[in-house]
Amino acid sequence: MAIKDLVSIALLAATIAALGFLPPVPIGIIPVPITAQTLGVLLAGALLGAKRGFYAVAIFWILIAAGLPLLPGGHGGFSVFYGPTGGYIVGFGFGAWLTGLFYSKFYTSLTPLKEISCLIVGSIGIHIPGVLWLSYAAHISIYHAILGDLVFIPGDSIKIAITFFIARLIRKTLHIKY
Amino acid sequence: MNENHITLQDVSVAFNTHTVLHNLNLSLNERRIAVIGANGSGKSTFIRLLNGLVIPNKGKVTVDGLDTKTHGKRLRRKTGFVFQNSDNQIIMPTVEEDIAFGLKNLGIDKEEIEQRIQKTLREYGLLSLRQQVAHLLSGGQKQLLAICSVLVMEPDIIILDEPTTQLDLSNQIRIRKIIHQLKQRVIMTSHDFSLIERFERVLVLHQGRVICDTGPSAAIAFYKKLMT
Amino acid sequence: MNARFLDHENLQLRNSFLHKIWPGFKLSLLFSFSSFLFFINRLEITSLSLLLILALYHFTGIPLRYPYEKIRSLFLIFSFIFIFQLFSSDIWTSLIVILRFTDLLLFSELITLTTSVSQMMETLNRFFKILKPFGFQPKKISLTLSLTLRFLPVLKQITYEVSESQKARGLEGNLLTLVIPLIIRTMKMTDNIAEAIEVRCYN
Repeated sequence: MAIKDLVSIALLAATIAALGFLPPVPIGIIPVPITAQTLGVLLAGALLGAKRGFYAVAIFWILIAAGLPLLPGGHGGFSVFYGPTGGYIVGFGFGAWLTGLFYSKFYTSLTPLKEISCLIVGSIGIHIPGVLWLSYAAHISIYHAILGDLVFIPGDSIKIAITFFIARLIRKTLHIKY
Repeated sequence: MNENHITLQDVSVAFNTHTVLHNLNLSLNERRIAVIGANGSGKSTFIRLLNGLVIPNKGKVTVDGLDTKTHGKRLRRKTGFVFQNSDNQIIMPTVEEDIAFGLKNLGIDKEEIEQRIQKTLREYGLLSLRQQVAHLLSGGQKQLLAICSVLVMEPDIIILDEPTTQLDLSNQIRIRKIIHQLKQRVIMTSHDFSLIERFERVLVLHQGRVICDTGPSAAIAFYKKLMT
Repeated sequence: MNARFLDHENLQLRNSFLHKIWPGFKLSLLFSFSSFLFFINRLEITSLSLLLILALYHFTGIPLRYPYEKIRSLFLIFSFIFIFQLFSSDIWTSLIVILRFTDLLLFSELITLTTSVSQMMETLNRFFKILKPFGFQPKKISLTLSLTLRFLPVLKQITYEVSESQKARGLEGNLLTLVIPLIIRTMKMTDNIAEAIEVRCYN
């Protein structure tokens, strides 16, 4: 890892954390407001690629584990990994990695459709550990856990759209290598 | 023969297809050298040549006998670099950690690091801010910290990129005074004429070429005419 | 490593027996406790553990308001799980599931509350040093962590500035116009910071 890689990992980790401080935006009838934090996770994958994107999340994990209140609502500490939603936080890493992996695969022929698919795959990556952990720890069948997970779809679609626009814009303004 | 002597031979620098510096031939051995020029004239690239942050596409830069292309690491021990934006230069969360960062990289032992931190902070009036979070410093204090973090490494040459541009008047005066009192050789870019006035030699850069190379008052007059 | 800018609880400055225990030991205790709880499906053990944990809070001098707030913040999810369990299994299973979560949350929270951020960082760093043979690079991890701590308040400030200027233009709550300037400014900082590290002889 060159110095520049370490810097971009640190800055994206800080971005993920900083986005957690934005007040959650409520959307209509759905009980779960949108937080901007997973937006940062997708961006980490889309802008840094699989490996560095994952490292950015890993640094974020370390800071949370150390007790910094960096999750929305000022949550932090080891307890967040043990809570019912702990799987989603682990999913941040998987999601960033998957997003980056697909981006670098399609990098030479990135059409808008492919790019959105990359982001969808990445978002699903965030949810997989989330659903698995919820199902395991709360003794809920996978099917029902997935059903509960569906409330995130509207928020996630908005975040995918935003990440799509930003990633395209950044690629035009700055040179990005994977 | 190459002690305390910077030379540029036929140096050109290009980024992609855009040439930033054209065929520079210079020999620099004064103790106070300033570089002035409009934004985009190549000033920043020019001073980055001197510690190997930028390697010329053509030609050769030697600093005290060391080729910047092959001796980048040794040169960075010899030179201290203060960037224009101190916000991006401070890389550790607190004042003391930031000052210690360079020293740790030099492999200096703990006791000496402690001594040097104490001495530098006292000298520049930052001792009471030792444990302070860097983000919470004022603009002037940040620039002071950036300079301290470089000075504490005891370089032979100090390179500064527009050290007073982002400061208010009282801090400008303070930083000017510090720069004038430095024991080291100084090479600096600046638009601050009151700072340049007391320098020995001033280069005026224009579109990647040195178009004037003389003493401060003549250079400033020339530059003012060029800009109008 | 210093993280004072976010030192969130002055509770961490207190001095109880739990504060004095080596953080590495506390973490291994947490790990074994959680693995133990996941294999045990007995109500008396999960509820006894809860009592024990609450007693620990009490002896540490942390007001019981803290564990209460922690559980309250998850009340919605807990009641969802509880009701769900009632329908799919029986009341005992649902109680065990909820109590187990409560145990884990409160115990891990207790460890966070009795260990300062810098202590925890140091311990984690030591852990990475042990993992060096597995490809961990503690020096780089440590630099990256410091950089993150250094620039997190800077990015927070940028976010704040951008959202203020949006309010002035009536663009409130628009994530897109908020995140774009934040990311662009952040990405532009990268080269400058990397140069600053390089000139200070990091290798």
